[in-house]
Formats: sequence, C-alpha cells, structure tokens
Amino acid sequence: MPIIVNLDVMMAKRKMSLNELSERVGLTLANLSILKTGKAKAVRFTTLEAICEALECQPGDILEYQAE
Amino acid sequence: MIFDASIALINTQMNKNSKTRTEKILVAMKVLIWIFFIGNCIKTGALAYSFFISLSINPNAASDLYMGLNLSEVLVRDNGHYSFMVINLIVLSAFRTFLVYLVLKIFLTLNLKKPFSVEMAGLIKRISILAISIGFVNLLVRAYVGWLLGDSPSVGYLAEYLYGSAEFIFFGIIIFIIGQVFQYGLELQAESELTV
Repeated sequence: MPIIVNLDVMMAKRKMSLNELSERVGLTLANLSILKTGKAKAVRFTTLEAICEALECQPGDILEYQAE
Repeated sequence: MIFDASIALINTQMNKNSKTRTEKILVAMKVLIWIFFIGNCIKTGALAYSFFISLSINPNAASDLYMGLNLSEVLVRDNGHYSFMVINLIVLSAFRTFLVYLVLKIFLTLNLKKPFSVEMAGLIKRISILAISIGFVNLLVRAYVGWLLGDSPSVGYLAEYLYGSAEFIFFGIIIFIIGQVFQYGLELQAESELTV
C-alpha cells in the first residue's frame, strides 16, 4: 500500500514503548501492532487524534504517502 | 438512573432470551438435517444395492428398487437403458445427499460469535453450485426418461425421483445471491477488524 505508517519512527523519537503508547491512547496492543506493521485498512480520526496527542506530533509525522 | 439500569437489565434479558431461542432453533434444524442426511444416505445406498442385485443376482429386484420404484419394464426392454437410467437416479440421489451433507457442515462449523468466515462463504458457494447442478442434471434425466418411456403409466413412482428441477435451479440461484451478500459481509468484517 502506498500509505506508510511511521509510528515506530515517532515512537523511537519520543522514546516511547508500545505498551506505554497503548496505555496512553487506550488501544489494544494487537490493534497498535496492526497499525505499526502497516496491516491496517483504515484509521479512525479519534485514534489518530489520540496518537498525535500522546506522541505530540502531527498526522503527517505518522502517515506518509509513497507512490508505488 | 434506576430507570436506565432497569432498561439495561431488560435489554440484556431480551438478548439472552433471543440468543437461547436462536440456539434452540439451530439445534432443532441440526436434528432435522441429520434425519434428512441419514434418510438420503439410506435411499442412495438402497438404490445402489437393489440395482446391483437386479443386474447380477435377481432381475425381479427391478420391480421394487426402493419404496415401490418399479423399472422392470425398462429392464425387460433394454439392459443398457435400464442401467443408464438407474445410475442417473443413483447419481441424483448421491448429489442430493451431498447437498444435505454440505448444509449439515454449515451447522457443524457455524460459530454464532463470528458467523462470517471464509469457510462458511465457501460452503454457501458450493451449495449453490451443487443445487444448480442437481437442477440441470434432473432436467436432463427427465428429458431422457421422457424420450425413453413417453408418458408410460406403468413406470411406478419414477416421477418421485425426478421432482423439482426448476425448484433446485431457483434455490441454487437464491443461495448464490445470498453467498455473494455473505462474501461482501466477510469483506466488511475483515475491513472492520483492520480498522484501528
């Protein structure tokens, strides 16, 4: 898929573990893992908002478009 | 607050009741399908056995192949036509048995918590294709019997074995459409599961 999820990059920049992010965002580890590995088909605005708030970043920092 | 809690309690109770009702209906259906399946197995087996006996040991068996099916006239007329006709009847009966088996398999693999599965979609598709095939084979066999016997009244109970070709095709088409809807449901479920 041409949409790349850079969640792991932002987590590394903020030095935040998946467990910590999961607690802060209120998502299960399984769902966060789906998002991190790029298997997700859709992201809710509420989820994106919570992740941006937890990682103090913009949606563009997490999502990136790369033409195939 | 108390009112809300009581409504929530009533809703939970209703859901529980409807769940048990659905489960009861499914159990009753499963028992019925088992009976159909065993009945069809017996019918197919008895037909095949009587056919074998009528050809190899006692030709009189053709006068009552199964539940009054009398094809002795056809056997007297021509052995080849008799064999072809009875083999067709056995194949049709086996197809119907397999159809019931597939329906039974649906009940055995059905998971009410997660009803949309690839296996279920595959079963529904196979049932629809099989039902349409039965309908067409039935039509062909009926045409063959019509050509061979005309409107011979002496062929006892043969019509009972060649019933419902149009119904089977219609049923198959409806099941196929339901299968397509089911497939779409499966895609929606997969998408919902992968929505974070």
